[in-house]
Amino acid sequence: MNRAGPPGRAVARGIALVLLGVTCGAAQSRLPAGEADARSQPVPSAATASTAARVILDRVRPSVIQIKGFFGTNTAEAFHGSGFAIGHRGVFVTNWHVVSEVVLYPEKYRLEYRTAAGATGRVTVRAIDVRHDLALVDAEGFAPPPLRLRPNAAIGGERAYSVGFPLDVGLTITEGISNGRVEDSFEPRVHYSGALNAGMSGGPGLDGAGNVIGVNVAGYRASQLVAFLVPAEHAVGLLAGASKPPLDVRQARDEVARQVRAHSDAMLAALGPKLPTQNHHGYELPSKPAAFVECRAAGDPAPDQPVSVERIGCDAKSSLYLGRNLQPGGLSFQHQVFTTRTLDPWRFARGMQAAKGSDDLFGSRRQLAPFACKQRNVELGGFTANATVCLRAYRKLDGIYDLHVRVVSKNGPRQGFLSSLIVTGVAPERALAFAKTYLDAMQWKP
Amino acid sequence: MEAVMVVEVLSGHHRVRTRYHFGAVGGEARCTVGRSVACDVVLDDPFVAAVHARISVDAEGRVTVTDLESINGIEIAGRRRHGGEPAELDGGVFRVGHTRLRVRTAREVVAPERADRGGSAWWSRGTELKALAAGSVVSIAVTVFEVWTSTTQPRELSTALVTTLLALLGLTGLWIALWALASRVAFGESRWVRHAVIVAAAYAVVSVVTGLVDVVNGALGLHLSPVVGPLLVAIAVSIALSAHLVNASPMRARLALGIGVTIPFVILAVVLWTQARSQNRSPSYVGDRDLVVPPALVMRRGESLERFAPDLSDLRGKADANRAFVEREDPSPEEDESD
Repeated sequence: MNRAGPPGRAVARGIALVLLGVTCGAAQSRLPAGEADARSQPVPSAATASTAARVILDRVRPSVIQIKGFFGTNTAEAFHGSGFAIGHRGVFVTNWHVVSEVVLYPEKYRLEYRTAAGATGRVTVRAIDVRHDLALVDAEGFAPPPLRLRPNAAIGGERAYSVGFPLDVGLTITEGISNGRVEDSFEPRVHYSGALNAGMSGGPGLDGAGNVIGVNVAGYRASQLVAFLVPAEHAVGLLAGASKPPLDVRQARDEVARQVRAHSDAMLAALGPKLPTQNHHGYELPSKPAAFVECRAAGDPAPDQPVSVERIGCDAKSSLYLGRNLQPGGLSFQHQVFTTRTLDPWRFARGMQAAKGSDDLFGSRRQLAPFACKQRNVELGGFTANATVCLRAYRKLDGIYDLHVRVVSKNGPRQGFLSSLIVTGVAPERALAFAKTYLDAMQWKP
Repeated sequence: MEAVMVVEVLSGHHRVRTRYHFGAVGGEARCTVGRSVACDVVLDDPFVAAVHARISVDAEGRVTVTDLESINGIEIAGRRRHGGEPAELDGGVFRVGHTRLRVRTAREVVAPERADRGGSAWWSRGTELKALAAGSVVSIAVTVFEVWTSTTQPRELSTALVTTLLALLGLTGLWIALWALASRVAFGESRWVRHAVIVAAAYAVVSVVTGLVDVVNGALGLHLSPVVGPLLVAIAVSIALSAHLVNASPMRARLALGIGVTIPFVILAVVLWTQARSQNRSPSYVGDRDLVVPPALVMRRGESLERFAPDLSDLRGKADANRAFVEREDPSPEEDESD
């Protein structure tokens, strides 16, 4: 999943390439009580839908701002996103990833807002919620009426709209359908089937009556009209803490690290104390540990290959966006299971050795320190394996680490596996405990 | 003592090209050197005068050389002399024009006779050929095994074998040819077989020893430092290079050994330093030291997870130390590629 902005970097990364203005279906004149009720509603005409969009846009226009980031004293913007009024004294909500550069590098970046009418002013960050990708900001000298929030009410099949400043082309509304909560996601998200482009991040996602059901956050790069909103109740929760003093930028990194750590703790806790396993050619290996973890399996269909490889990969899709090349809070693991009928143990061992070499990890030199590793031959559940456990620290964030575990079986003359786990942005003790859980799950059960 | 003199004309490689014998006349032996047929020692050197110099040996066996008013004079122990007084010749060798001459007398102490015990000398032709055959067989066998284990597709095996062996043959052939050329320049003989023996022996020893170290490493789970392999190669290359130098240059064995050791170890040190510098700063480097070997060779059981897990507790401290290191040594790294 990719965030829908800020466009300065998002466009370069090819995020949200769907076109604007391609909508179908019709708007509903009132909110449905439920899906059964919704089925009994008459389908409005296309003209009615367009009218509804125009009415909603006119209603929210005064309360939506474009938030621009500038590097140093430059007057040309570095990135931009959107935001909307949520509190009465000039308090706006936007995405954390719109303001993250300013929070992490306050000496390098500054923020300004621009209203739909063209007024501009300074923006300061008041509170952040890294986990839910939200932030509260104060817009100096601008306090429009706040939009009305409708928490816990995103319903599948409901007409929905999204407003923001995509690609710097001015205030825009897109029309789509809310598909309700995404069921298999660690972070709560509303699935919005509508166009959501770079620059709309932080703008409001609205129902047919103009109530905010979520905050624009992300879209899939290679998919059509698959986009996501942060449910409105998380904005309400963040607003509840808005009476506190503004975020102290000197302690912002500690706060970010604390929130990342809390997120990772919660994610690992959701996996439970023991990982489920699946048997692959005699090896019990960790399998899909929770509904929010997405797993894929593939094999090599060519029957004439001397070594058959099955690849199983699982990803919790729980990474948090902190900046370029810095997305901690994720968990993923891959197994490669090798079998052969024709090769002797020497050549099979050599093949596995060669496969190990391709298991490279990515890491930003600016953000991450080198790994510290321990490698041993260990007795797992009924078989010998080589295990490498590594930790690396974050250079600018205290108290969070990346865990990497690599396991290579050493018992099978004609079958074996390579397994690789990475958990990012986690407390070290929690990381090492999970490494043991991961190794503990592996067994030899032919 | 009767004065007897032998004058040897030497080649560029210090080999005797021509030898002239002179007997005593009136207690002294003497001869003239030059291009003229009237001279006793006739040279075909355009930098030599028609009658260039005179060599004398007196009754005490003292050798003197006199320049006979030539343009280029004579050169004794690196010092050029012109005309005048006879110069005493201590070392026995002097130069006229571009030709080196050696004067030997009855005073010369000849090295004792070497006993022939019937066996062949270490570097005899037969021994060299046997060593070459043994080294080549082992080298080819190890190479074939390496190619065989790394080629999983049977239909690709023959191609891989032919390609690798031809490449090996071409590279070693070129290497041997270069050293043979150096030997030819230095000694006037190519010493093909000797250089081939050095290459074959070094390759065979390196292949076998590094292969054994790998197998033992994997079988015992030693997780040896990745420096071990290159270190073994550097030692073998040092010995081989020294042997090549001894056989392809007039330098002394000690100097050849010094050069032979210095070059590979300096290269090794630079490569390892560069590699370590990059790895110490890279957040992606894991440093996997394990080698997968057939399970039948695994001789040591692993330790229990209950023992391994507590041992991981110091990883945090090491990760923090790595962070402090890069903050100190590499505070502002280059932008990452995907930035």
